[in-house]
Amino acid sequence: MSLYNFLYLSSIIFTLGVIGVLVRRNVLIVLMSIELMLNAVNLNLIVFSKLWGNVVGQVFTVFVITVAAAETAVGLAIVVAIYRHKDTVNIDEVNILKW
Amino acid sequence: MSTKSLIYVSFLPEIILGAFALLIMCVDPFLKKREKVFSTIISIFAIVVAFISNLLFLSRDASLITFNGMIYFDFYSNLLRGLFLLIGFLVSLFAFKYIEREDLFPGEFSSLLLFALIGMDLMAISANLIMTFIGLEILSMSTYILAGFKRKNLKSNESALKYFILGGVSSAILLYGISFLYGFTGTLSYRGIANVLSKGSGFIGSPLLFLGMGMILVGFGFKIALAPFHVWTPDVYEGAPTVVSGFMSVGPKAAGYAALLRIVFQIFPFTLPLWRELFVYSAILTMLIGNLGAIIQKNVKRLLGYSSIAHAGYMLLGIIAADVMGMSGIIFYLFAYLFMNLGAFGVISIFEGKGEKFVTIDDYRGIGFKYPQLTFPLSIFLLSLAGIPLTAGFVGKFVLFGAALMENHMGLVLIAILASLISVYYYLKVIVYMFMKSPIIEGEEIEVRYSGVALFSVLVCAFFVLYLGLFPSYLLNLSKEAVVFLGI
Amino acid sequence: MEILGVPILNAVTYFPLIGFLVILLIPKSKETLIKIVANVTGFIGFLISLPLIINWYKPEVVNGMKNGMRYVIDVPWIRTIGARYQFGIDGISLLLVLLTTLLGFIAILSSWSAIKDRVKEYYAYMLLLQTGMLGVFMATDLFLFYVFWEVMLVPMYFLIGVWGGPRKLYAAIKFFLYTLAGSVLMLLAIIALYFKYISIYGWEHRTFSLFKFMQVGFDPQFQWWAFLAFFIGFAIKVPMFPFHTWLPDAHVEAPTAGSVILAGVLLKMGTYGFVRFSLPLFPDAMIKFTPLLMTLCVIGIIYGALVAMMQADMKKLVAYSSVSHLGMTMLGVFALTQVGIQGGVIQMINHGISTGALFLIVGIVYERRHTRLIKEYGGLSHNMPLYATIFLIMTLSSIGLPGLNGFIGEFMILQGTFARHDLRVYAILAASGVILGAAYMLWLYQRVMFGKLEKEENKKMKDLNLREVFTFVPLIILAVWIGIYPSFWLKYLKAPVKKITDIYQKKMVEKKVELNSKLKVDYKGMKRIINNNNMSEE
Repeated sequence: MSLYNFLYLSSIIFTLGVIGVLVRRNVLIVLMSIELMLNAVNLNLIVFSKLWGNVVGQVFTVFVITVAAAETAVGLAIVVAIYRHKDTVNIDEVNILKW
Repeated sequence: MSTKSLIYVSFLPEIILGAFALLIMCVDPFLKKREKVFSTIISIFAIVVAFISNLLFLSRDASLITFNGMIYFDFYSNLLRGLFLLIGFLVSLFAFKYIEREDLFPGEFSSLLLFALIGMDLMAISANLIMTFIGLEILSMSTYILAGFKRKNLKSNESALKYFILGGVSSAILLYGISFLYGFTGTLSYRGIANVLSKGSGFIGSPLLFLGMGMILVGFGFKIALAPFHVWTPDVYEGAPTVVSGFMSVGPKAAGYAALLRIVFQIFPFTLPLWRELFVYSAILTMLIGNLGAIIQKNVKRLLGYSSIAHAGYMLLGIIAADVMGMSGIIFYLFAYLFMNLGAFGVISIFEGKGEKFVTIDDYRGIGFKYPQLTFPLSIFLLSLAGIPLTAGFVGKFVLFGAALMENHMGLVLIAILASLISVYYYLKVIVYMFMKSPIIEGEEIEVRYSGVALFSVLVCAFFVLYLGLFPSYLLNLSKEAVVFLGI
Repeated sequence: MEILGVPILNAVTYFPLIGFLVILLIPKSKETLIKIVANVTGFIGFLISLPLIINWYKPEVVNGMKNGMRYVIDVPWIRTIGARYQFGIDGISLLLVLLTTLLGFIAILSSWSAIKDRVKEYYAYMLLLQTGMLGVFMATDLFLFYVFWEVMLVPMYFLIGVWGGPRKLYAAIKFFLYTLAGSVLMLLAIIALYFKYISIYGWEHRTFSLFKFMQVGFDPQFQWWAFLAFFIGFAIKVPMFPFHTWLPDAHVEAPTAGSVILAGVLLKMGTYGFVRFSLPLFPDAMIKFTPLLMTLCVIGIIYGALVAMMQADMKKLVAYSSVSHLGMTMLGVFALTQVGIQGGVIQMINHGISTGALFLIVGIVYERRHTRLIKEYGGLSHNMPLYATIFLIMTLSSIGLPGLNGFIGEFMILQGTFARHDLRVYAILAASGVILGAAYMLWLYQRVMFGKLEKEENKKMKDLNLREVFTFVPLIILAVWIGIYPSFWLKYLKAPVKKITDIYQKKMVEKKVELNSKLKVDYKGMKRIINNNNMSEE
């Protein structure tokens, strides 16, 4: 398989992630979409790592995975805090701050 | 100095901050409620120690790359680190009584603040995109939590959620850009990438490079609230605890600019025509949106949120000018902005009272002559933000606009001046309400209680705003010395 | 020249600041003490400005002259951008500095009973304002000039906004934004000059010094733009015709002392700016735009006078009369002849004296009756003879009766304008403004002072007390002094104005502008005045 196929795949995944963030109203799914975007990045990094024959990309991938995990933990904590107040995880209902 | 010890010296302030942050986390659970202040004091102590260690090991002549090519040890790092530590110091002072009043957790707050400072430092000193990313994430995660620090307050939660989602998306975009850049050059170190890019001008048209660079800039655009990626700013600033809003308005912005300067001038100097155009449009949008948005605001925190967007736009002029004067102008402005904006948020955090009740302009009616020790400093901050001479804000704007003018960006400077004229209106509005309007019900001004620490820090900020307005030379020279290391 | 080891210009400028700091330390409740401190500061501030004129011709002062400026202070300030702390005065600034210290003192004195609430803050702002204004007249570094120019906006803004009348907020914000908009354009032009200079002489020679800029001789195209930017900044401040709308609002709403300072000194900053900066820096643009500027001046003179005539509010009337008078002043300055510019500068002083006094006069009846409507008064001369006398003197001075100061200024301006063949028509039109001026002022005087004393409230009004009389004494002395013996003052203007006209003499010969310097005036007395000021060399 050529390099470009991987790049196409990663860009499709990334786009799906972006669309998910924009369209879906459930915070959990938004979180998952962000995760999807990060995984597209990981795929990219690994492919390029293979291409250049150095490990920098793979090391970075490990970092990204770690950071993503930490980020999700923080994100879920925030979601829980909101759920306690409003009994909902729908973004549209969390809207007291406006203009 | 041996290489080995140099590694640690160049990283010493961060090590100190990290150690103390962990110490606070360990000690805090064992403190009784009354003793919780102790952890705030530790954090202030940590910041002071880190500041001293930063002063002790200055690298004014040479630019070294240490830590296996991960960080720069040069004067730019030193100066920016000093700036961040100053931010941390003032924020801790403002937070001192604020946390007690709002019944929050001093231990968590202080350690998160220290972690955020580490993240900011890393962004400024990193020599490798991996390091930059990690710094950015450390900073972001701390601020996500700080924004939602009032667990029981829905506004605060919402602010944290919005900041988190947009922050997460922006880091993902940034990473995607980095991955392309990596694919294009095969390395992640600043110098390595710059080396590859310098070899051929044929690259400039390459879509991969353009995509990579564009996405990196977008990622930072989110962080420093450049239009059109600014939408989160007012919401987040309004909802977050006031002291945290103050921190967010100066801290991440300063760190974002610090990293952006390095990236733009150490990685992308050869693609200058490409990004300059992007920045010109973004600057125009940012200044106009920030200032026009602020005009209609009733909530003072939100007003300052919009104004902080505008100020990010002014600073962009320095990058567009892309010369020593513009760069040093940005650093000077970051210092000026630190004092004036943090000072303003500090006063607001005092005025709002327990539970952040009094945050609209109407609440400020008639308090002008009742609490002159706070309203006069606030007026100084606002006038400085508006760019009236004798204040730090004026000198900063002068240098930035001047630099852009020197590079023949006449139209852009005209728009910037127009924008700052608009800004005078809404800054003055706050002053008008304080000094010239009487309360809706006569004699019912808001009651204000403040501690000595808070008053002290407000006065310190006011002093520096005036001092930098009168005698900016020293700091301007330092900034100049620092930006030389960016290799413009 | 030093006072107690402090360079005299610094002493004059920053002395009010000391009073300001002292007042800050006095507790709010001790109002009398605050008033005394402020008055003493104002008075001493005036006294220490007197050595400026007393020592003017002393050899050590004359020898210390640099670029025609005396008492020069010149130290580096912001090295990075090349801004210097550069003070110095010539004859033009000297007169304005003295006017400022005098009017500042009088304004403070006149507020003794007019200001009842927030006394401490009021006097603090007054003294701060004083320092800002003095700095403007002394700075010869454009950056420093701009800083002072902007900074004095803030205390004035508070004076109008806090102690003003019913529509004070509107007036204060309008005042601030108008002036700021103009001055920001000016700042842009200053930066442009700065970079132009750098592009010629290199970054190492970066400077904001006026004298360095004067040596350059910028190309005409650049001059036009820079001149226009400066013009808008100054014209708003003067205010010249299309930019005048903030003035009536600010004047009507400001407290009496604020109006006195506003009319007496702040407006002079605009006219002074033209003489000090626009004229020497942009000669080509100046000559090109002369017809336009003249037209604006004439419109201002006639329009201001006509609108003043229709006013029902005394203060508004005086405010519009300012528009007219300042149009006259600028006419003289833009005529670009020796006599015209000298007349313009002396008219600035005259306007400060007579309009300042008129605002005080309006303020005095306002304080007693709390109305400024002309129809509420009438017949006041019956129970306020002293007041009527002073009012009459100042009215006549404002009209330009020979023997009083206004005549000298207006005559010189018209003569200086008439001397240029191409500008005669403007001189003729402007002269009609003088007639209108007489009409509205005398009509005002008649309606307020003469007739029967009908209203009950007016019958109870008391004549001036000693303090109030004392505020007018120096102004009356000056009005008569300038009117009878103008050469004493004109001699200070001779040299600096000559420096400016020398630039234009050359340019006009190049451009073939006809300048009739041998205008014959048959009337003996007038001839003496002109000769006097031509002969009184330094």
